[in-house]
Amino acid sequence: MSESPSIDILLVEDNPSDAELTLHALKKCKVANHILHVRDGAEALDFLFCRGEYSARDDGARPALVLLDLKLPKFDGLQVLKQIKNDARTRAIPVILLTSSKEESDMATGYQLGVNSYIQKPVNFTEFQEVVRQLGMYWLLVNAKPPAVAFQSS
Amino acid sequence: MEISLSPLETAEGTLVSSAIRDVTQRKQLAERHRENEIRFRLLIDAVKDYAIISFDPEGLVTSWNSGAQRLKGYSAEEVIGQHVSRLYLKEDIEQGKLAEELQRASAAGHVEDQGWRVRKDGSKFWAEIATTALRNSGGELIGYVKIDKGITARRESEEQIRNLNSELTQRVEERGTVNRELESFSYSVSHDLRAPLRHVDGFARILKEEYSPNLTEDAIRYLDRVLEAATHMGQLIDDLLSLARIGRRELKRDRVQIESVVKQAIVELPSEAEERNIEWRIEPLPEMNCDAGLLKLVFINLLSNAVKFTRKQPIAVIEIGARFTNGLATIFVRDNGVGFDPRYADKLFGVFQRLHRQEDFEGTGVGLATVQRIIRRHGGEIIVESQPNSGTTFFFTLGPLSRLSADARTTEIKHV
Repeated sequence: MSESPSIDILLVEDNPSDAELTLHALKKCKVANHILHVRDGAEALDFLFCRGEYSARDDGARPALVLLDLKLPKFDGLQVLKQIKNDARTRAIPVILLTSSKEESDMATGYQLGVNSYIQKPVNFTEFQEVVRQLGMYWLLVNAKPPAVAFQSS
Repeated sequence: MEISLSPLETAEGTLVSSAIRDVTQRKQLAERHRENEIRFRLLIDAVKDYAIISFDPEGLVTSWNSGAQRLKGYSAEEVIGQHVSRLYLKEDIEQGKLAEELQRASAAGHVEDQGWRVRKDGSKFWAEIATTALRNSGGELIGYVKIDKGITARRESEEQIRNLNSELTQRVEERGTVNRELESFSYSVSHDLRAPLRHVDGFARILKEEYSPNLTEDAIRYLDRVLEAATHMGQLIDDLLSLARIGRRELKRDRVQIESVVKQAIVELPSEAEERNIEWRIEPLPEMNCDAGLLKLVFINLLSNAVKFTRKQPIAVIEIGARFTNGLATIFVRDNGVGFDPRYADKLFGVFQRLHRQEDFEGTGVGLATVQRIIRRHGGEIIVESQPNSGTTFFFTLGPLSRLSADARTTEIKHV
């Protein structure tokens, strides 16, 4: 059995500064070894559904966690979320919306579409690092990952 | 007595037949009939607000009262014998409105309607008209009576109401647009302005924390300035957004125990309040008709100001109480803090207006603007009294502005 190295976190973020700060915070807390950073919603969906440049990807190597920004080029965060949660192959992957916005309507739509967590990025980087540490600890270590059968269509 | 003599020619010559009748009764009847008719004409003529006219089955006018003259401009002499169609709009006649109206009146006996009528000078007016068909004892149609009332004024005011309503609807729609614009504005403020701020803070902090062995003391001090500025701007954005949300939010008025709102607000004050030596004096407070959530925001802002500006006092005293004038409650919040020069009192409630230097007392200058906006949305008013080094007192009402009278303050000062 040859499996490509599994991805711990799929980071969907178009802003390079935000991406760098998030990656920096994740590296510092040492909870994630393999992080894949994609820059827009279309690329995120290509990866998740093994399409386009990711068509050769092993379907079983799903990310343990998706960190999703709201404002993204092409497909925005909520559209990406909708597609993930509407497909049996991806529905069980935990998705966290990690965003600047604390708009009630975004939060409501996010939860209605089945997001697993909604986090507003604090302006203060020290606080942000603490948030990233906690979420990494919880979702990658404390939380039991969904078993393979969870990804079969019922 | 009625005596009639009739010549009667006969072969024997002319004879005269005489008939003598007692006609007292008939004469009286005729007289009474004439009197009645005069009285009736006078009565009809005295009616000034209604045009009462009659016309024969062919449409020729047979009577015309003074109300008709006043309303339509024609005198009785001018119009009697003329056709009623001259009182109608040309297009109404062409469309057969008059004929139809008469037909309906003749069938039903009586019809009521509204429509345009034309005066002698050609101007038109809107009238309410009752048409009655007149029939003799044999049931034969002998004409019509029409009673009109010009109601142009009423129609104009109805039209005015309709215009006002549509204007109002338009304003509401415009307001909706403004609200949506404001909403998208605060959305982009909360999203787009926060993002670069996060980057400034993030990279400065990484520099400071991970590269400090390579940095001079000055470089670290400058980085601290950058971080402080970023934190301050973050606070400004949050405060401005909450100010904008108050304007958008619907007022949810209810009977509210002010005392419990004050106690909840104290719990939510910044941690400084707990760490300091503060004497809280809370007098019995009334129940008021207001939005509890927004009023809590008022107290959080006023009380955290009081806590902040009493920082230099060995014992801070913060009082909250109420006074009543003509049944209207004035709430006050008083502290024994640094106070300020009353010349600047009117500046205090402006957005970003601050009376103290940032290094003495931190702040964004949005808090009191928020307070004033909430109180004004309740139809109330807030004023402030202060002297340097002798504390500050805020007075506010949640009722009409005019009721926060000077005597509320005088009573207040007497109590001190």
